[in-house]
Amino acid sequence: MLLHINDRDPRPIYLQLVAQAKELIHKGALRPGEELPSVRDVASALGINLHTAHRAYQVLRDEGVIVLRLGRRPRVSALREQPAGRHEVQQRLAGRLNELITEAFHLGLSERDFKSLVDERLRAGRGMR
Amino acid sequence: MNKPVTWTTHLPALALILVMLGVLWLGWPWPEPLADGFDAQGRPVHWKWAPAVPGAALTFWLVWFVFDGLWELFERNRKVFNPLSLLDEGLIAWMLVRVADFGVAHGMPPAIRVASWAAGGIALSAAVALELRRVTASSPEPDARTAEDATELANDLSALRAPGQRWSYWSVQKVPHRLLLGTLGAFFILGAVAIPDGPLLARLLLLAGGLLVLVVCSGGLHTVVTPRRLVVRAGHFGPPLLRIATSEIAEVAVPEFDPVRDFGGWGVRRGFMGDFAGVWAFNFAGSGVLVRTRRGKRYLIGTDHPERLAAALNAARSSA
Repeated sequence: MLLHINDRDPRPIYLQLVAQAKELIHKGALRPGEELPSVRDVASALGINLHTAHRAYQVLRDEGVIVLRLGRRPRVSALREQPAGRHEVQQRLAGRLNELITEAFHLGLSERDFKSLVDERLRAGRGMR
Repeated sequence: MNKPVTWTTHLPALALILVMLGVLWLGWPWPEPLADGFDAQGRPVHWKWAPAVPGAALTFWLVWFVFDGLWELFERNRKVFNPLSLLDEGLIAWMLVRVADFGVAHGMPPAIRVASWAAGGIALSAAVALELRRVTASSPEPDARTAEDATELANDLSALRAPGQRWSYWSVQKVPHRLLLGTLGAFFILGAVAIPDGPLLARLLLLAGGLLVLVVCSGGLHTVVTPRRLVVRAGHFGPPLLRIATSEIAEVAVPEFDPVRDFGGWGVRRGFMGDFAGVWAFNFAGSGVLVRTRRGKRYLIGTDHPERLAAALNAARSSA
């Protein structure tokens, strides 16, 4: 499992870690049930504050991506069997999609170009379920 | 799908009994034992060892073979831990301990009691492990992480050479049969605690061995690679076994090796012949990465994904 931090990334460190953990699961580099390094290990290896690593894990837990249990190593949760509800989709995806559509507009892309770009990215990665 | 119960299922337990019997036999002749009782004419009655022990073993074996067959018939599709499935091995373990107690009471060395606890523990541990495996058995997805992923990882790592980037790679080697080994470790500890009059050295060895097995089984072998250092640790709570600055690493390779042939087994070992003579191995399974330092020392680090660990080590080495 590879985690990295970019000091020049404008996002907070904990959000960088959250995004990477999600991507690793999506790519299949981390599988359901697999153990993650402890908060202390992450903080020590990456040279970050313990609270920052802990916050990243808390966010992942709150989003149902990992399971945190007292005295046990964090583990990747089982993948959702049912898609998330409309409210959660709105909350977590719609805003970001709007931002992407706005960016695409300012880049001069047509709707068709934007859709084909999305298709291309889906094909390049592991795609959706 | 559960395997059907066959007569060979009970062979390990039977073998344990026969080994125990052999150990007792080696202690022959014993001092004249006290009478176990008296017959109607007042003559002393002694337990006849030779027919009694294998006779009892055979009886238990046959009874529980039938019992397991019936249990298999009713429990085949139930994924629930059934403590009854441990009865035969539990009885065998109990019998071994009783036989050893009897032997010690008749002049055998006390160490035989420790041996009986260990042997009984092995039989019961195996039964617990098999039942747990039956209950938790599932059909996991095949592991798709291969050398192609290692190439992708290498590309990702090369992109992290830019200034302002910090990274860390974690690698794990899981211990095969850790359920079996873990229950065995627990029994070693139980044996060490439950034999107050056993030899101190044997009890300490049992305790140390049990604790070591539990620590190792709790988390396997953990390797952490950062641009600055490589750290290998056994279990979640174990101390670092190896710590090397990545600037010290001269070469990384993924070798073909056989833990038994080249190192005489698993764990922390030193190779004694062939290509691996003098290599320190930290390995709990069958695959690993060979690291050579600038001072000429060589280490074999066990991992489930050797190509990926090698890619991480090469990236760390080149950025050091």
